[in-house]
Amino acid sequence: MKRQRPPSKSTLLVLSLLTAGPEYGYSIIKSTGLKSGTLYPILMRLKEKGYISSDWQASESPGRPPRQIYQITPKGRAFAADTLKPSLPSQGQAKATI
Amino acid sequence: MIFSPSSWLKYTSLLLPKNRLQWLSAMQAELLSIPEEKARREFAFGCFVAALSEWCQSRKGLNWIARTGGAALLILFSIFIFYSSNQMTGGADTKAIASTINNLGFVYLITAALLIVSLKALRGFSAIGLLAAISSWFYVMVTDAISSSTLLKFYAVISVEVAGIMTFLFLTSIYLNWLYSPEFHDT
Repeated sequence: MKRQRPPSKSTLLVLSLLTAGPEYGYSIIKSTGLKSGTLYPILMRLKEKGYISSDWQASESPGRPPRQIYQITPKGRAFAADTLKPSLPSQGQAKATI
Repeated sequence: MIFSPSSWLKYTSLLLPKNRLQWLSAMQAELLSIPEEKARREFAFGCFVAALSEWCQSRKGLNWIARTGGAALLILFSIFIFYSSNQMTGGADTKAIASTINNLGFVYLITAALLIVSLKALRGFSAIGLLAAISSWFYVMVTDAISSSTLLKFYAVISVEVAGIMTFLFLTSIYLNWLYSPEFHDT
């Protein structure tokens, strides 16, 4: 029988942040306190599962290249609704433990 | 600079598996939006770590680790078998060399057999092999037959060797099965 692994706290943190609205990679890092080495694998998995999608968006600063912005999909929102409520630590708690 | 943010992203590009290369552009664009040098360095290094982790989990990375690790293991085994054979045969060099070659042939045979079995079969195969090898070794040691026959001495060495290989394969197969189970990934 296959094991069903619950999503990690970091994954839940990213999902919860994205339910509030689209975010850039670095802004997720700043908001959650996660390192890029942790964040990008999470984003990759979430995108593969169809929980998030990404788009190129023109940078606000002139002369800078477009950046990827990440947003939650309806599938991701449903998944988040199922999993976030019982298990999500508050962002303050999560920052303290990461 | 070897450890500048752009260098870390260059190393990242070398490690990221092909199906993940699109992420490199996202990382590069993100790096350019970070104003502080320290934060840029940390971000770029993190990207490198992410790529390294992806590479290690990809088939390519695992194949490289398995090939290099296998080669190193085989060399170490050769040295070990040569010395143990040399001691058991009382320093008779020709016999020791012959025994080493024989043992290595056996190792290659097992490796070849493993190449044609699937990962799931590997677990059962190695578990049975491990039990058989331990039983053989136990039989030889308990009956004290080792002192009376050169063939049994050889048998004892082979048993220990097979037990080692089988344990390694058994643990590897469990690890690989776990690694490639769909639920492994962190979502």
